[in-house]
Amino acid sequence: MKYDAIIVGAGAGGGVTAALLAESGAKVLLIERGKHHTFADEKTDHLRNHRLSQYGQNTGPGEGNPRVFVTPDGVEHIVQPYESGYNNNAMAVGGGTPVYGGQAWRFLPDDFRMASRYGVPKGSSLADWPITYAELAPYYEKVEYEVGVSGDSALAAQVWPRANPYTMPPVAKTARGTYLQHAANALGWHTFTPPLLINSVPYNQRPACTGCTLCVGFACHVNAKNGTHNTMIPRALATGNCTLLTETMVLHINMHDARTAAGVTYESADGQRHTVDAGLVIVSSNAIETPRLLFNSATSDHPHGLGNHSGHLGRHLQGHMYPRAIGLAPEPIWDGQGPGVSICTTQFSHGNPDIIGGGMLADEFITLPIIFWKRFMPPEVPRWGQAAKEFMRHAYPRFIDITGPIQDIPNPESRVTIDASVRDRYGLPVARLSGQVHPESVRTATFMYERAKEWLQAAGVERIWGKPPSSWLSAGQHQAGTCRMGDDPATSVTNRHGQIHAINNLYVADGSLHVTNGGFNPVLTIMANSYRVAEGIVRRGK
Amino acid sequence: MFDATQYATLRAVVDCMIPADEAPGGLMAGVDRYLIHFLQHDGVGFVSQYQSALTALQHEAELRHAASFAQLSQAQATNLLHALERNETQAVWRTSPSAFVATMAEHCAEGFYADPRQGGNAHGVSWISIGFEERR
Repeated sequence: MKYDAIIVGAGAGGGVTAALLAESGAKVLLIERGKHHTFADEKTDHLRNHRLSQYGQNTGPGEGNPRVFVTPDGVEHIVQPYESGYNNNAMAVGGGTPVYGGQAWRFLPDDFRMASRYGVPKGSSLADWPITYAELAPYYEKVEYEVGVSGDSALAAQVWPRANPYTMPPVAKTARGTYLQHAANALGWHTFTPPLLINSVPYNQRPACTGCTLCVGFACHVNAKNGTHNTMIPRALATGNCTLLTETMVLHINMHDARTAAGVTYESADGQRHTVDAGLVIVSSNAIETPRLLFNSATSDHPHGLGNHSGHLGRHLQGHMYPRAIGLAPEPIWDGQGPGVSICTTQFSHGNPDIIGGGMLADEFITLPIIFWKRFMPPEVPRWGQAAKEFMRHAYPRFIDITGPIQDIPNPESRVTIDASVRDRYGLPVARLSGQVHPESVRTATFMYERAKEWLQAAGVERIWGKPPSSWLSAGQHQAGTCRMGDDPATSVTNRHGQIHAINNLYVADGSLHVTNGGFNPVLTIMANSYRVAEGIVRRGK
Repeated sequence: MFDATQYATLRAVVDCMIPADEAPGGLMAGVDRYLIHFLQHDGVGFVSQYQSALTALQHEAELRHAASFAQLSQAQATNLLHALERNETQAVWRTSPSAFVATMAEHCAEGFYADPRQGGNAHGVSWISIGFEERR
């Protein structure tokens, strides 16, 4: 049969798009390479989850799906999904959303006009979005309402222009959050509880968060975490218009002629290959796999990949640097309250002297002991012996971790290409990730690291340590930018509607579209922008 | 996977890396059992490193103290592992001594601080000592 639309990838972007198209009456084929993923599947393993995955993880992809990661010394490394160079985002129905922490940030108005506000630093590809905050704001609100966001409406309204309050009150503040609140008050910093895609009260026929200790990196045991897997994708399926294929890999997009996509060829879990046609193809596979599929679908009309007429496909890859400072409260402060993140500041998102943009700072999600040991111990503390044991006993109940994403300054050399020799289990060239962050991003990260330390100092902590920013490419769960939108086909991959410039019926709807990625967790923007793209498709009757 | 001497050495290293004090140490938490299970599964790639290093450790103890590693006092064992961290050896090593100490320290921490479902941290003893309580 011929579908009206094929959507490649059932994550944050694809899930939203599927719901909008199916509800408009279109016949939709939604194809996901991962599986349905539930709390029952994952056995609550502290060593194999999406927060700590060095021995494996609780979502896809599995074996036979390597990537190539090029380190700053130019050496190529073949990396597996559970290794950090892979820059993985979960592959499952819902994409990263079943296992994320669910920070539900709108980007700020100036995040959409970074070049206009700050100019374009040398070596960077900083640019304005083709749309404004005001154009995206109604879609943010739809997503906040339809997927479900809890938040501190009055205090957040001082940061973003917003029409209506959040539909749920903020999640519980931790003892750590209250402690940091006093320090922020003393500094004169505006703080609030971060908005989360987590039910603070029952919502959408699902219960409230229980405040458990397994949150980010795990599926929610009471289904109080809101992603596309339990909102938009079920909505799409409920129409009867959407067919969801899981464990199915799209191999390439087929073209009818130079300007028209015909459909896709995929391989299902049983190893059979199928070719299906559709009036429209939408790629929502994330900022690494979306360009990879477009590269792997090259034709004689598009010899360098679909959408690569301008040479921008795969470039401007970014995924947030995370400066991090850790301190020890004078007294135990651990209260075991999940989700854990309960205070943030946007005081330094913009307007910092001699800094391009800035970032957000927040306390950390509830941190499992082994993750503290692996990631948060000061470098000089021994890793074994009596001193190590005593340090864990002293520090774990007292530690405070302040971190947050900075506004990356994109550069064209941070990029996804396809590797010339390494193939995946389907015989397709794998994604090759190369480049480094722009020096301005390092400066911003250093500046934000100092602000994190300042917050801890004001709180009166015993000692402070941290992770100095590294210039390595970072493009994991927050990956973005590789199919940037723009009004000028010479400098972008898609137009403002998410349509590939030279191809009438081929769209992108995921973080790849982000021209810049804000100084915030990007998922709410991925959902809102996909909502806008999908609504545009429906409105134009495509 | 290990002969009796290697296994005794492994247990002694666990006892040195996470010693018992007012709270249970690595052996009481079952970290040695965790390591065996780990090395049979996800850690299978580490087996030859462990075999080689545990044998070399035994030789180090014999050369330095005329005793097996498992017979060393806590202080002797600790000093020996610190020497290995500086790659100061007397026996023949076919694997990096400092890398082995760092690797095994991390594996011991996994067995001690991860959830008891993974085979270590029996009855959550490490969590009790640091104040972590798994809650639903």
